[in-house]
Amino acid sequence: MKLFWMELKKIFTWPVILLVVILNLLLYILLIEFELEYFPNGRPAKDVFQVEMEMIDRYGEVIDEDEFADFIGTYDERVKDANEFLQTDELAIKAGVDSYEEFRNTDIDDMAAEEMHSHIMFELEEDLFWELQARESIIERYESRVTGLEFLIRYQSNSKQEKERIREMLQNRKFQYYSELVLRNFENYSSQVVVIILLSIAIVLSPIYIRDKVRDIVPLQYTSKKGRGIFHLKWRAGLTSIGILLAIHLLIYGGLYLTNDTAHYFFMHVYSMSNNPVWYDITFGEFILLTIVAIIMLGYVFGILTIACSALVGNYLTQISTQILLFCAFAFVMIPVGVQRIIETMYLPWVVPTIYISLILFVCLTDRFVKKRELVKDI
Amino acid sequence: MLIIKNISKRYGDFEALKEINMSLENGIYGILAPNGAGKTTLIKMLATLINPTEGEITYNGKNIFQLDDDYRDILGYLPQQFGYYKHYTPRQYLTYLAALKGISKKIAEARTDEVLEMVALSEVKNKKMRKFSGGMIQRVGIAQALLNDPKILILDEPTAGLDPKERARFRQILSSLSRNRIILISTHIVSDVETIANEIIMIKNKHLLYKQDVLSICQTLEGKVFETVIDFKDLANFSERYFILGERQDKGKTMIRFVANEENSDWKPITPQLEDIFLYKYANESTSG
Repeated sequence: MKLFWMELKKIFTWPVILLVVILNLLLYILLIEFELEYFPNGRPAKDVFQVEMEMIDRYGEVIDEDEFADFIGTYDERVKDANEFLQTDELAIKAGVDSYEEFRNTDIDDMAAEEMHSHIMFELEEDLFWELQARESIIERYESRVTGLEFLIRYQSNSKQEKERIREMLQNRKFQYYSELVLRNFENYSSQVVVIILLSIAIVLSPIYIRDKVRDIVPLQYTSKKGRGIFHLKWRAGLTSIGILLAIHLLIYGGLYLTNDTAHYFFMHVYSMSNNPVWYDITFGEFILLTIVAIIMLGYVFGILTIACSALVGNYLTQISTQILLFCAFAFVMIPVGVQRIIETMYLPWVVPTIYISLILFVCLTDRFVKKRELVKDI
Repeated sequence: MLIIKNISKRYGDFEALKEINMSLENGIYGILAPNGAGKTTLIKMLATLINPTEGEITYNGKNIFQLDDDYRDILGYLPQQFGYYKHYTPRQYLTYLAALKGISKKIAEARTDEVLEMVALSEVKNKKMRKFSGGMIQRVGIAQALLNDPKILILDEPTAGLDPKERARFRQILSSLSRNRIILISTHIVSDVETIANEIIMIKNKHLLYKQDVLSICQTLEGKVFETVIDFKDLANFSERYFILGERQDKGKTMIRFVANEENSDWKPITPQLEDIFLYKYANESTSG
């Protein structure tokens, strides 16, 4: 146990910790901050989010015809408020606009009307008019919920299974009632977090074996009583380090994500808030858990491959080159397929599980090969 | 007793060591050979770092590779390139190595201080090794090899970087330790082992050449080593006929030490030294680096 802690201490040296902190701060500013600071990004996204929060409280996940009539009623009331506003607004009077209907159909060639429109929307930033836009987009989505799925079956689905799934969704009335604002934000956020986690793992674990190889410490280790068992011990320390890094990153970035205040959506099905059809009827909360599991798996796969590289290569230059290739493969293939679009029908249902199973098998074989090789290797 | 039975090592077509046989009992053994002779391969096999292609090495009748950690538990090893962490102090590093050697924390602390005292590094035991000289680092290496009070001590080029005073101290330490353990010193510096080794092991062309005490080895050239004074202009002609062991310029004349299979009244017979044997036997092999 003492040796295990010593090896763990060798992995988490102060310069390495400092480097990881700097990397996290830098990538937080470059990748993460935007997804938190500017969520929902711009208008009417912000207004859609506000209206949807009210809708979830009032109607729940599924909006039936009565609830939709109620929503239309609210919309009409807000239109009346908009009419009253326009009838007292100087610029609107000057432009001859006295109803929301006329306001919506503003002729951009009419200078006075355009000036009034811009003044209300962008200078006054009158919430009422943005809210109406948001409500209109929700009404539009509701009204096209059936035709939307039919369109997907006819023109956009790539496979027989996908068509069948969308037909099943249509049959069981699994419609999208809400915007995908929250879902996309989470997908972007989680994929950026994966990037940071993978880079942190690479920084911390790349030197795990090379550190001792380049310093000629291996002969001393292998001729000690512990012998080549130190290789396994380091491997275990590496696995523990991956766990530590994953836990710290997931806690920090998970906590930061909560500031986006999307808890309202946690119990809603993903299909009710996604433009793209999905294979499974899971809630957004379950989707978050699935993403966390995927991140943990990817973290471990990437980490073990990093440790294996460190055991196989002889110098830092080769290790860095291999790490860059490995990171690119994960960033351009595994993150989009295995994290962002993990349940979407874009890929056949067996694609993502097969990729994960193959990766796990590959890692197990690598693990076995590297350990076996080390036991008989001449030093 | 450590027995080497018919050991060979091949890397593909390259033969690094061929059919080596010997037995080692408590005492000091100096392995003398030029680089590339197979000296380090033999040392590494004894340290379990390299598996022999053929043959076996046994300790008290059991194969050392099968003894596994029981063998390494009684092994102390100083590699040719002693590796260390620059940001560690000798004490920290020896504590780490003591943990690897399975020494309990309590014993390790006392033993670390003891071996650092032996190699005269007590005063700097808490200083980072970053600023240590080559000699000081080598002494840390010697200290770590002694940490577990090994029954078999294998030292590959242990005196590299040590000054004459440190070398003398090192020889003194080894002599005091040799009574109840096997000590193997691989070197190409003859003086390191000449006075302290019970036996000298010489390897040539991957084969064992000698495993005898210094006197017996020196006797192989008994009556064949001479000294004489010649004119410098005659040196080239002389070296074609005899093997020159050394030369010295003195008052316009050249004093030479050489090996000859004949006698001459002008030549003064000299008692052969181990270095003479080494130079003569490895005449056509590189001894550098």
